[in-house]
Amino acid sequence: MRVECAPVAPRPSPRTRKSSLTKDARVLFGLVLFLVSFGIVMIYSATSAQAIVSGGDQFGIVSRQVLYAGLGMALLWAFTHMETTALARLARPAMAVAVVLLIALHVAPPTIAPTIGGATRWIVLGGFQLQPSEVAKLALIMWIASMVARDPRITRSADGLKPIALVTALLAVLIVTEPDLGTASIVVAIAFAMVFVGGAPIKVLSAAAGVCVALAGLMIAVSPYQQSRIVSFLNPWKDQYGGAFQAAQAQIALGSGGVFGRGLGNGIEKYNYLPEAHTDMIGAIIGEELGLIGLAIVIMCFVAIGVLGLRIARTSTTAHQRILAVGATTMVCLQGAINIAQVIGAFPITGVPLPFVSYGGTNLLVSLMAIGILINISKQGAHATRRGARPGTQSGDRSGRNRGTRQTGPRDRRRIAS
Amino acid sequence: MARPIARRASTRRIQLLVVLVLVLFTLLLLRAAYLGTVRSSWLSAKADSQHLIRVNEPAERGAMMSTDGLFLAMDTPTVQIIADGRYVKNALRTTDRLVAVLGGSPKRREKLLSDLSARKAYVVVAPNASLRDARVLKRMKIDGVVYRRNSKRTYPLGAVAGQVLGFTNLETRAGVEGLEARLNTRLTGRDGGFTEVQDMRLGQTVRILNERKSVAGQSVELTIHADIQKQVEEVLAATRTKYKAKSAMAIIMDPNNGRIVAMASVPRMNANNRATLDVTASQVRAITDPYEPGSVFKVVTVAGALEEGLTTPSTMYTVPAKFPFEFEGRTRYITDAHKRESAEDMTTTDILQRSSNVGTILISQRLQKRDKLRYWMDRFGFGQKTGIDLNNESDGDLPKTPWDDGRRYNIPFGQGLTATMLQQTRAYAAIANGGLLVTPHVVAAIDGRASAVPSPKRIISTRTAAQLTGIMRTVVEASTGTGGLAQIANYQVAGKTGTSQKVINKRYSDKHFQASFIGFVPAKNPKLVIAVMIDDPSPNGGPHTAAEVAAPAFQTIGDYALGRLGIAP
Repeated sequence: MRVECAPVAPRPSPRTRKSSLTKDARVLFGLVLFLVSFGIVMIYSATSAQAIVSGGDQFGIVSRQVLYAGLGMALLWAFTHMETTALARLARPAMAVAVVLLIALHVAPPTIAPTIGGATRWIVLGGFQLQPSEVAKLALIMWIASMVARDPRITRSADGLKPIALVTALLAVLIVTEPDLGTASIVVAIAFAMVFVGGAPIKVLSAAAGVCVALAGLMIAVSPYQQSRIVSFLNPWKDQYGGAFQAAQAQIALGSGGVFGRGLGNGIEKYNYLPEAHTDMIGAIIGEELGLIGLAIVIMCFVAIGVLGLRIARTSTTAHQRILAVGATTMVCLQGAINIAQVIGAFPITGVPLPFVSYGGTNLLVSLMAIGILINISKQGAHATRRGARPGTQSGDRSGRNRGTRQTGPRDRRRIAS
Repeated sequence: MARPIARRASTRRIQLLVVLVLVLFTLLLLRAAYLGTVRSSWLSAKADSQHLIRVNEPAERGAMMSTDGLFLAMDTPTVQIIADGRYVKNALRTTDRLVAVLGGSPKRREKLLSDLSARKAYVVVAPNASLRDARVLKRMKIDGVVYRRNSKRTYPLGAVAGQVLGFTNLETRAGVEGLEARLNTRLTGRDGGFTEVQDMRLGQTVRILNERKSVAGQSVELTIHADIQKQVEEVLAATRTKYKAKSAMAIIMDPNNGRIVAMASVPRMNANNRATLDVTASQVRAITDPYEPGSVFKVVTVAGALEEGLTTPSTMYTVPAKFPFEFEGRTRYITDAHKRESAEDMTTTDILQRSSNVGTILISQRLQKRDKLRYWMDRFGFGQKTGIDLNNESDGDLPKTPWDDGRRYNIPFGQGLTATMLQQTRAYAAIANGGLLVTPHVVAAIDGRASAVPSPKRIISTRTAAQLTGIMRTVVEASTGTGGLAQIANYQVAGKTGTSQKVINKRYSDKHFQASFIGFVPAKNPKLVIAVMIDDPSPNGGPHTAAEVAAPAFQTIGDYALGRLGIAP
């Protein structure tokens, strides 16, 4: 139907047809492309100089990132051109893979699941590393969305939310015991955001949030590992050569960069001062070399991604797409926010990478897949619009393929009342 | 079951999320801005203090060269070897490798090993290693060991002119004695350096900032002739040994311009080896230690009388065997060193030639009647610094007028006053050069520019100077002269001996003397004035007079210097 429509309707410009992407999607893709390229430049800056000093391969790390970026772009393309229903069908297998991988972390021998820095977060196979928790995030998004697609009412009551809560809790427990409280929190937060937009009762959400906070508090109370991270977060300068070393170095990097930075490549912290300079702390290197301006541009990019992603969610035609878009956007933005918060000392250091920018294959692939999903959904919405239906209006809702959403009187009234 | 959420409600919830995104990132941006602006200077200071290492590159200190083109003092490049225990991989292995190349006592090895094992950040392994050793070590590529340019003050000729040159502080590199101290600001260059950024884990230099080249200090050319200086020192040392003397000193000066060719005292000082450095031998004794000149001083008394027209070289005096005078209620007698039984007729020339104390008193009485002796002492520069370009010069001691009888009768022949050897040498130079008082100096040029020397001042007429020279020639040449042993083959020497009694327990000793000889050569056209003094020769009896002890040393030194400088007879 869409194909027949095109030659008949004179309105869409040939360019629009050719790319078949909305303006939102194009801007989104542009932002992501920028962040990925920028990340490659910054990773090169953060790793090459040190490699030259120690006689290593200056392109060793950055070339891997380029490889991952290429692979990620291919996946992004694939996710862009996939039927959204296929995403729903893929949800269960994806979830199964994620859970298996997460369990593998706990049972596999150290050769496959090594413990690095006190945490078991990676599965190493044939020289390649995989972070199961990243896979789990995407799997959860797809799975929750597919549950909503099957029955949009599932998110409306505590009973309906039970399976979602259980699966999320399962993933969170598997991740938190790695231990990786940061990623576990992100997983939980993604689920919250999705069911929130899906219409979960505020009471239920509040209660669940209360439980989560209590559990997290308990986790911290019983874990000296987490406590030390909190303490060093609260006062990094008291222990700047001990537990708070990384946090202190990150702030030193940002502060010494000032507004304009030391200049690209001129950073000093990357010379083994700042741990994880090219991964979790890439934001500090950006701040040191390109200053507040550089970091602000990155922050703006994530704001734009968040706004665009949520707009795509708003203009999407089905409940499934909408929830999917919210999940994907939340994942990318929340992770970005937490990473930057870590770098600037506004959040305890938990080892969350900066999406698109930090070195790390799994995160880059998963983040690019999430963007692929958003662009895909944006396209669907655009097709719906082109057919004459305007999403977000009653007519759009009705003429759309959204079988679940239906405008009702009380909803309208409530909106007016508020 | 509840109905699915309405699109509008859902949209509102999405809009809420948008707000959340905006608020969240705005807060992050504010916090980032706070760190990048308000906290920036504090954090930058922290960054600098952990990143930057200031490395000083000492400037090369100026060299000091002798007039015959030899280096007397110079900086030799060395390498300071420093280990950073934090980056040393294996303390024991590193220590063994360093010690194998650099050497060192077991105790030092132990200390190095414990420092490295304790992972000390700054361990000076060797402050001044040779370039060769450093090259060998560098090739081994030992982790945590860094090499910095350094230099070490060396005195290539060892003790030669040691006191004149002085020495430097090993740590601050500043001069503490001699010319090193006096010319410190000229010799000291401007240190260079750079700021270094090190890799924190590897300890390697990753960046060099604010590099500034060091500027070498100015070099100094001395009037000292190293080879003659060395010879003088050796002659003095040999004389000192031969006569078991306490010490000995000598000066060779060009009487025409005050250039010091050699200025030495033994025992000597070798600043190359600080462990054995004799601090008591560090002074240029010819300018710091005044002594009673004795008979050498008679020339000044005679010069005054001649210039005042009170006597002539041939004026005859009847010189009694003893000169009695009342002092502190008792009658005392002054006699000549060569005791006589009766009075003898002597000319002024004879008096100096035979060094008659009584005769000199007779001449001085003519001067003192007019109250002119003190005037002539001043005029010849006694009691005042010569103005030589060296530190710690002494003025000597002239007793205040009015003099009592004791002073009045012993000052004319050189007792009761003190003068440095340089003051005496300069006075003799004035006779040698035809009456001009010159300013002695040891610095010929700094940084290629000749040093300014005050112009000489006339103190006696050329006629008087010539008359004195004639008299002093007879001291050496006449059979009755006291300085026969000062004769230098083929040259005509004019000079005067002086054997002064040392003051021991406030009394003039009969056993302890200071034997000196000052003369100039060639007498007709003097090129060198040479002073020699042997302090306390043969303290247990034996040859002790200037004629026996100082004159031969003068002869040996003079002979060598004349030949070395190619001075025609």
